Amino acid sequence: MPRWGMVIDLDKCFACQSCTAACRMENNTPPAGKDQAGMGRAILWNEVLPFVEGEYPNVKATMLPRPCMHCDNPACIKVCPVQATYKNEEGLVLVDYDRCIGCRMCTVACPYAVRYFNWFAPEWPEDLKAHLNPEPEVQPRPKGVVEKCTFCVQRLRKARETAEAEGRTFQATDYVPACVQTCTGHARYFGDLDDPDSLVSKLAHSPRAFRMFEELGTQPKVFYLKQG
Amino acid sequence: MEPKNHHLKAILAPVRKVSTGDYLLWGALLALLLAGAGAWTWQFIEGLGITGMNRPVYWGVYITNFVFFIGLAHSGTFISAILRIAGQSWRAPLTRAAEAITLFSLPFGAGSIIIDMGHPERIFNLLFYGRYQSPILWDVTAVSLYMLSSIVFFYLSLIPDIALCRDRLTDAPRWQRRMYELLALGWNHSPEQYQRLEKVLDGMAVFMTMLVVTVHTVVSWLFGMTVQPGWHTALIGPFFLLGAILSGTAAVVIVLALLRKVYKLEKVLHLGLFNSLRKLLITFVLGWLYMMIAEHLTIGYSSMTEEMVVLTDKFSGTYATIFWGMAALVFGIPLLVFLFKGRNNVGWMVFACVLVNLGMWLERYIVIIPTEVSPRMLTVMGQGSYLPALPEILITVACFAGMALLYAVFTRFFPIVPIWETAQELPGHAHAAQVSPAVTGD
Amino acid sequence: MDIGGLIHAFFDNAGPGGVVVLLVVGGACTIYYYLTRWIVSAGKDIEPAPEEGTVSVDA
Repeated sequence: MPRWGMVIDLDKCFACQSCTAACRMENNTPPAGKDQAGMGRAILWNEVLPFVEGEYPNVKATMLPRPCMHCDNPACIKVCPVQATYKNEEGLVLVDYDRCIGCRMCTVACPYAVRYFNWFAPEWPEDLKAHLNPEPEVQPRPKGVVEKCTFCVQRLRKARETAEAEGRTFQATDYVPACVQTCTGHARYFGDLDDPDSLVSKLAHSPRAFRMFEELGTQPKVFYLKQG
Repeated sequence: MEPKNHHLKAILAPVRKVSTGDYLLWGALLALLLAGAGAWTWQFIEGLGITGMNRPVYWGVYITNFVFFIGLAHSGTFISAILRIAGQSWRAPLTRAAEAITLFSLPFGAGSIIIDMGHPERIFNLLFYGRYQSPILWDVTAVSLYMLSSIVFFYLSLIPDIALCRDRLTDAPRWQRRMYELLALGWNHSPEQYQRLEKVLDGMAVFMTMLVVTVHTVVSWLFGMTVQPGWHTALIGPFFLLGAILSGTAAVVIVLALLRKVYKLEKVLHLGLFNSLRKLLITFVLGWLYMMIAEHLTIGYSSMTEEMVVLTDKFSGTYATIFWGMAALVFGIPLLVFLFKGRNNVGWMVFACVLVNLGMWLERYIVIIPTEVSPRMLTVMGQGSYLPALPEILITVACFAGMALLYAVFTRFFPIVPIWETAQELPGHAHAAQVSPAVTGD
Repeated sequence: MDIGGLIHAFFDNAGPGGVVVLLVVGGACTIYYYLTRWIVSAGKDIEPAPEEGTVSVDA
């Protein structure tokens, strides 16, 4: 079984937000509207967050793309009272929308703030509604449940199905999430962390590699390459 | 064979009549309760978006209410169970009044969690899919056991008095007599019954004491088990527990003063009780201060980045007004009042106790909100903000109104002072009259 | 027997938690029911407490 992980090169990222847009279309996250977004209620499975150090004129800004970290030791799973959030055998942290009771303990516990709550039933403008992704994994979520980045599990399933249809064995390189595919600066890498020869595995061991809040022991599977 | 109590008439007097004033009060409280129910329905239909909660403040006033009401509930158990074990016989007249607070605030504490859920109709998933690693399951276990045990503890000590009502209140409406008949379980005041009752109550008191500690510690672990700054501390359990007992004991003073005034029970609920409670309250307020200092000094001395953000936000930032206001309400003013004005003065005691409870609600708020507003991702996400919206306010008011309503109705149908526990003579044993109605000072 | 594995499985799976809640609450209900019966039955000569083996002596 592969152990999926991601590496994001901060030197290459120029914060174009195409990952955020691609994620939205791939995963059917509803547009929040200005008021709701102002309250911090926008659902963005992937966000590009500005990390600003110092004050003008001595400012150093780092743009930090932030998907779910898919921790090996996730804080969210420990606190879920009904196992609505779980880690599958390939290390992906997923949510069962039919079981979630909406207590929001996972959103409170996640130190990376990657989990989003559906404050209202999701709505789309008519034009967008026609272009929703039809995959079963990303059907619009009901109000009152928590959702988050899945590393595009539906793409993983489709890649497996394609490989099977073509009569070949599935390779770890057959599948990438939408944000990785779309990344304009080729800043994102994706693959099997357990395969020592994979590109992600090599990059994750680079001296530039770091993980967010390493000290919390959550063992994230998203690595960043330091800005040089 | 009945227990002999000089104050029987006075204690039973409120049970005999429901006045127009009562109906007006009940109506008003019921209206508030219904307004809250309406707000909840609205929230159920629209979604939790109609509240002020957002990202990163995923928990707001509902969770504050949850902690507060569960804390308030600790009053009864403290007075009747812990003081029973300690052999403090002065507590006898106020046991039931205190336990009633427990009984009537618990449903609103537990209910607040359900109100806070995005999918309350999926509550049974907790039983079907319960995963014991989650602190929420610990809460469900502890709170439901506590609720059940409180009901039983309360009911057991009520049985002899229900039997008295059954025998004495023969002019009550038919349904009411039928209710006493059923609830009394054929109690006939035999000495053996009283002995067994005392035995069971003594045993349960030990168990209840254990439950009090467990329940509020587990409540605090909802926060303590996360790695969020300001919550992730071993002190949070004892701190919550002490706060709970403080606010509970303060609530007992308020209720006692009201009962005394409204139902003319000055003789039974004598001034000596307030003086005893006053000493307890001084101890608890100082204990609370000790916890407060221990907690904040440890955090402040270490200067850990994320912790300091939350701490400075409380001390001198966005939440400074609430924080210092809370400190004045829980500690500053009440301590002065208890020390210098409270003795033999019910008015001042009530004033201070109202402040303590206002302050304790704010304390729960100030533990929960600032941590959420300044998450670990603060540097990139920016600070959050939170203000309760209309539904949250309506539901909070409804919780308090509901509790008052249950209390008001209960006191019109059952004696709020335990007749048999304050009796001068009890069948079976020479129940030495330990309740001195004398108005004593310290 | 792998005790550690059992404990791990208990905390890590959906289901056992609900069973614990039901057992605790259900068990308490049963105990309280019999305690109440035991107390009240002291006053009735007709029906001795069924769960009590020893005959209680009147004071």
